[in-house]
Amino acid sequence: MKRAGFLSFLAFALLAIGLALRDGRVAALSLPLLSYLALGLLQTPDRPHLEVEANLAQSSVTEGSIVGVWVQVRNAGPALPQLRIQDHLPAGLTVHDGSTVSLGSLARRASHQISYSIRSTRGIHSFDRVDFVASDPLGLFQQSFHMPTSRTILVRPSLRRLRHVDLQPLRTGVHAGMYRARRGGPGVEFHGLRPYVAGDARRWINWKASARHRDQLFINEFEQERAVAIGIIVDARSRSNLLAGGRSSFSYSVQAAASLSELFLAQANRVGLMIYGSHLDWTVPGYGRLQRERIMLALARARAGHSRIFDRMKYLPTRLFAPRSQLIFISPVITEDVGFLRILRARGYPILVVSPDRITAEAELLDGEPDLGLAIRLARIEQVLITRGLAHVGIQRVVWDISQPLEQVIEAQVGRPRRWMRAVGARGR
Amino acid sequence: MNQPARIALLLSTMALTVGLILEGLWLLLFVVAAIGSFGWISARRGWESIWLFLQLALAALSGIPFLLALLASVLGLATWDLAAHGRLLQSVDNGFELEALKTSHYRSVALALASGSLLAVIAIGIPLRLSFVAAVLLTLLAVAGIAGLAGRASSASS
Repeated sequence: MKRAGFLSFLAFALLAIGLALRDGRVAALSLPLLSYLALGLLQTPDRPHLEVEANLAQSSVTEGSIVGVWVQVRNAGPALPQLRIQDHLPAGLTVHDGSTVSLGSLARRASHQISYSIRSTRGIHSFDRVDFVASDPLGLFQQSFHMPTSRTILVRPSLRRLRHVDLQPLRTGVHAGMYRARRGGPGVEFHGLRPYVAGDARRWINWKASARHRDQLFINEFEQERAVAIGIIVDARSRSNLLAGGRSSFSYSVQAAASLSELFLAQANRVGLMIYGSHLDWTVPGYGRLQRERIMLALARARAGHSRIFDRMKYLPTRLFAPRSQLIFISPVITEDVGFLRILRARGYPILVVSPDRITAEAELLDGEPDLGLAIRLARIEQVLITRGLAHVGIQRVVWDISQPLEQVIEAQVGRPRRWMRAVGARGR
Repeated sequence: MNQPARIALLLSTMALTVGLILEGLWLLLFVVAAIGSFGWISARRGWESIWLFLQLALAALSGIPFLLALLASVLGLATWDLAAHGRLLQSVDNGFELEALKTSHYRSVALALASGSLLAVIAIGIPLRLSFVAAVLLTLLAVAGIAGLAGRASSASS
């Protein structure tokens, strides 16, 4: 019950009892209450007029960063004896230091500033308003209103710096890049020999091979290194990312997608992104910094969700990807997805699957549950069967134990071998 | 519960107790003790409205001398106000111009209670010869005024 309403009720009750008992003394007891109410009413501020200026220290940050927020309020109207100011914090953000709420008295033409800092979580967050409650000094008659502000912060997913992912693309682009094109030409790795033709650089002549032939010179050919068209598919279906207690492993998929796209774009590859979950979020393939920003924006707003249409992977529109382009499928992979991945491979797409290991995450959440060990063993068997089923058709799967850093797992399983290992012909895995 | 509210609560309970002793209503002292203890707990937990209701009901209906009943109800109202105001201040970490806020609040409370007490004493001290019908009409007028206040309160808060 509001305070003024409660006091009014008490005053009314005393009057009614006084009348019923025909006792003026009881009725007179209501006078202090009425006096209190009347004084509050007389001092209620009339039409508060405030000016608000609000700012964020940064408009684009990485997940986990601390960001400062300022709200400056100026009173351009009558004095406000009691004013409560609350900056409306978007859902998903938490206050790191300071407070979003402030209470005090604001004289005419006086200003007050609220400053606090937030810990950012991935997403696009809008601070759309500041809430005010102005009231009389007794707090009886309140006026609630809000003033709109336009502050938006883009919180990009956190990145892990990857060195290299050793892909075996079937098709390469025309631009120079980091992946071997299986064609002779300028490069680093030896590819083969071919007869010398006019115009070839003399320094590439292989004198040992040429010495065996009387009329013919041979030159060394190297494997060309070209950029690759890469499509990253992020599985954002709730059911494939579901963990115990309603939690989700999706944030790991987002981190993997962000780290891989950052690496591929830095290597001058053409990268596209598809987020497949509650809806289809397609970022058209492109190069460079602008594409990086587009992908980060898409990943920042990505949420795991459910849709009847996109419940199964078979509805994924593969025609959006260039024929025989390299696909990176980021998903925990459930058994029914294996068939779809096989079909995709049969259509000529080389595929690398990166799977955040749900079993490790789940085991941590369910620590102490009975029969947990048996359940983990069964889940591991299923995981191995899926990995083998994929390997059988030439799909490589990287299972990311989330207790390990992503770069360490990628380096160990699909990273480029050290130079000395390449020199002795070892893969180093 | 802040210090002024605690003092006001003790004084209002004492006023009721003295009134009951003067009237010889010894049995009601247990009720007063219970209400006083409840007030101590309630003001901290945000139930001070219930306590004020009980305090006023006891002051009005126990039949103790008017001045003591008036004192008990005024102090009860002060307790109710100070407890709520103290809790409001405690709920906010980041205050500004708090001294001005407190000063204007305490000044308003003191003014309201003093003027209300004075009016009540004058109303009882000056005998008015009113017929029952006139009393009913005056009461209805007062009720309409109270309803107007409550209506304004609800519209302002929305």
